[in-house]
Amino acid sequence: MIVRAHITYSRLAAIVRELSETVARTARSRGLADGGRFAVAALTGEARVAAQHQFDPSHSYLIRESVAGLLDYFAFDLADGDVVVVGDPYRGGSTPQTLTFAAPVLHEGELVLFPAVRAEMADLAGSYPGTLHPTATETWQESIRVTPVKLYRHGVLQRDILRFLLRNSRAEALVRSDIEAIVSSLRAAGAGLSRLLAERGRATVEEAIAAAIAHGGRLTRSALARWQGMDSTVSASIDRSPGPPIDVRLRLRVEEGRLLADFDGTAGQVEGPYNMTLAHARGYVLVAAAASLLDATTLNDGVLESVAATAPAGSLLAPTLPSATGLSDLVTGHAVGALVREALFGADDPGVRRLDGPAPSLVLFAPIGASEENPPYALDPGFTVSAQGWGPPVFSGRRRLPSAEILETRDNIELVSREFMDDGGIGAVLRNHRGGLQATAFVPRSADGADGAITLEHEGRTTDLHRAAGVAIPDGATLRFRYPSLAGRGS
Amino acid sequence: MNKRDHILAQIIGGSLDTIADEMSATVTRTARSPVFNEAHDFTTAIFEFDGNRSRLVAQSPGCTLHLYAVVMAVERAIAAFKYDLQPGDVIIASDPYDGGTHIPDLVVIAPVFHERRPVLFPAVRAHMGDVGGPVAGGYNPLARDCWQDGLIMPPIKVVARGERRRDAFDLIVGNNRLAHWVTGDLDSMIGACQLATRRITGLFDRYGLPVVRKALQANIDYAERRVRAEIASWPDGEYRAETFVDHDYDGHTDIRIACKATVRGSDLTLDFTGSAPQVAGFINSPIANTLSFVFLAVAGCCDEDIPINEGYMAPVEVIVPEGTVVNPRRPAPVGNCTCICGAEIAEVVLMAIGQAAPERVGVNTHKNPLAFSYGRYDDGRMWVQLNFLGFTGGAGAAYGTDGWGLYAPLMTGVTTPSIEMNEIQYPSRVLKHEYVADATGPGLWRGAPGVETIVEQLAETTNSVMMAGVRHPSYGYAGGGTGGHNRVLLRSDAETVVEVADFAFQHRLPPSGRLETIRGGGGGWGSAHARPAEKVRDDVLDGYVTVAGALRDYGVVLAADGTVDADATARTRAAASGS
Repeated sequence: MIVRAHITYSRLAAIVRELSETVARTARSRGLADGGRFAVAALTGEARVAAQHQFDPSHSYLIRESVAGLLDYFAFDLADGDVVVVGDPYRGGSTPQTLTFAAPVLHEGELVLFPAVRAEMADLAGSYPGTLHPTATETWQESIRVTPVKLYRHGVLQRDILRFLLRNSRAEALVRSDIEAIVSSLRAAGAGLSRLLAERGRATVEEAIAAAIAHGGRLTRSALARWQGMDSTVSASIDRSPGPPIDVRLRLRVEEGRLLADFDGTAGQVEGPYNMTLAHARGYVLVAAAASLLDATTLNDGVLESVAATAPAGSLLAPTLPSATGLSDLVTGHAVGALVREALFGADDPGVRRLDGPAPSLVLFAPIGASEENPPYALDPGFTVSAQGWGPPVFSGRRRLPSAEILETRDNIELVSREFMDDGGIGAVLRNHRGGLQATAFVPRSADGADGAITLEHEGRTTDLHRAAGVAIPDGATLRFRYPSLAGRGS
Repeated sequence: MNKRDHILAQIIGGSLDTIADEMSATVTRTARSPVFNEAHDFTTAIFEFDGNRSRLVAQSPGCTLHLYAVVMAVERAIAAFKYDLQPGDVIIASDPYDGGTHIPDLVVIAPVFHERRPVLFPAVRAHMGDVGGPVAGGYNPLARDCWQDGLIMPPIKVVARGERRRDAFDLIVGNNRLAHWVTGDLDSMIGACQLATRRITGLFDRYGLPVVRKALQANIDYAERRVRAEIASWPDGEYRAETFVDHDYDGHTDIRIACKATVRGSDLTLDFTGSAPQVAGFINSPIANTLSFVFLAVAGCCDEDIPINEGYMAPVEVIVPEGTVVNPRRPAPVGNCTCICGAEIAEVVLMAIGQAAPERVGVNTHKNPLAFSYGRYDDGRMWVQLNFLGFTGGAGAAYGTDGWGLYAPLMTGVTTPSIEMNEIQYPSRVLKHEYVADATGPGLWRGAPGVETIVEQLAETTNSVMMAGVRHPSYGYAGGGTGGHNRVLLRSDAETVVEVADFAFQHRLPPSGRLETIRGGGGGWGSAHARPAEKVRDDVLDGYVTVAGALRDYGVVLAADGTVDADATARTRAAASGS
């Protein structure tokens, strides 16, 4: 029975991995095709995660939370062929340009098992093209707010809803094709799940899921057992220059194998995009505590339920509408994860303890208003070298670096150099041959001074792009990126 | 048409106008936003769709700049749902590049079916207090594309076959900072359309579709005949005019709006070739907005008893080159177009027509110094105020009448909010709302006086101001003088005051801070020196003109006792005329 359950579950997990591959291979935007800015899952009718595949910590709880919100919103109004969508930080979301798509599949008239995809769209309006709005103070400045909508009803595309989403995008063609890719992938995965249920029977599949969830829970509790009885309080500040720093306070306990993260005492929500929804923060807590475990097992509800998080309503980590959240992955998540690691591994070497390492970020686009289609593209030629001395930090997720060939042939951006620096960090120099462009940029500041940098050089003048929105990048200008190395550094 | 049919056409036309009136009353009485229920910044109308195009058939006096723009919105809504339009549907739209004007002006449309086909479309177009996007209130002077203006709403069904489509409705509300207002406002607009649907259905039941269609056509034909008769009374010819928008919010001034009016018999062609290319700032006027202001100008030249319907535009051909500021290409920003350059579009049409028919033009459009404020009530809910009181003033003169009323007439239908309600609805206090002397365009008939308004904010507020009518105030006609220049001051305290040049963006005022607006008066009509001296004396007694202004602008000399010194006046005027 255990073997049968494992085989059944492995097939389910394979369907989920295939869903992930399909999205990556059929999406057109770079964020999805190259950047891994999405996650996929199969969920039960009660919105429990049966199996999930993701590339970075942010999605850990958010597919489940956003899907639960969708099921609640469309309760008594779901059918085969429906595709429901939500992209609202305040309905189980994080950053507003990330949408969750779910395609309910009914087995003998009941919602038993269905696929979902959570993906960052290339652009959904907001003040600037792309997903980086470092000066935003409200969620509406970052993106349109996609409250729960039905994109397909009984298999029929709701054209006005699709038009609504596309008209609120500067990259309409890209967003359209990504949506089509996601929906197609969901249909294929849904068919696979239906076949699984048909072949194995509902009871067998549900038993396999239950066993896998139980197993995931046991594995996680086992991994947390070493801290059983721990009760530790730590705090840190997030740099918000030029504004005052933001205090984050964490009381971390392990009780009966569950990790309890209490953020009481954390600062209130701020006027700036550093706010982070609680479900989003919970993902960073989980990865901070169980990173190595997550590499070895399929993420499911058993793992997710082993971590709980609380924060006062209206605080930085439980903000209320309409607080902006756009820097939560770039900055706040790293700070939250670092605090958890400090509580758990405080005495250990930074190479063991640290999984954080925010990196400079820049998004390029044509001058606003210059053309009807203005697809943004994130320029990330390097990465912050992790405390382990190689590769990017765990909290930054997995993605492919752009190759020089692609940068030059596709983007007309010359990669002048990209190399390790003497301090172990990475330096990259790029030159713009695409004509006059604009950019938004943000460079996180850290307490240990291990900051990256982005500078703009043109006609003898150098400008630091610490926090820039809509800055001009002239033709022929040079962008110099510096990514720090955290090897050997304390937090 | 026999007498019976003529009478029936009037009855049916009157019924539809009454239905539009009832829609307007419904919206006024049920909406939540003061922009609706106090300022009446909306319009209600009924459109006919003949299978090819949409036509205006009835309307209720409202904010007339909204009105004709809905024609295109109805056509685009029908196109969007060409294979999926049902009885009981209600559609919402606000897309500048799909039949819309500026994004805050949202239109709600409902098809009324008869024998399986949609025939008439009641519609409400209204200014929403907020439309999401980067800036509260929907006016973003830093906008450089339409997405920086606000949420774009292509036609979307919020009611399908009579059932609320909750996800679509919530999607619109979710992208609005004033959810506590917009929910009720949308419901009021939808309710008005649904009420109209019932009434119109009753009309079909009573008279039958063929009779109704015949009546509509008769009324349109009648309006067209009257407008053609008006145009035919003008001398044939080509009449060129130009006016200028003060600035484009991108550092450039004097943005040209050009119009050549060609009169050939009873046909009128208005050609905007030569207008400036579209600009980076948010003054571009989408085609629907341009046509709406053209309609206003043409209607303003005609007798007021002509029924307001498509007949007005039947004799008029409008040429609007694409890529110009009066017909921009996507994604040019358009947020301010209903103020600027809509006002200039109507103005230049009047200036052109005024060369052919000077006695038919005047009553200019608005050039509002638009100052809007926003803040939060004590319970945290947001409020947005468009400061309608600051728009007051600026009504131009026309042949036979001084400018009158508190709003420029071609913005008519917007009502001045009562000061009491203003002070209840917003944390503010009106300290001054008075006419200003010597701030009006002199003329044989003078413009309405300028108005000074001082509003004290009782809580901290964020204020943005978009100036207009400074470099180019409201022009007079037929030799009349130009109206006064607009001014806006943002006063934090007795010593700290900013006079707004082109615009102010998100300027914070503390509690007790003041928004001070000096709204220039309207342009005059005819030579000021032809104005009877006694009337000028009355103006001085009324405080509209000073003694010095009487001499300077009108050549009227008043004695110490306030009487007209006829001899001195005659000499002054003669000297000015060179005789």
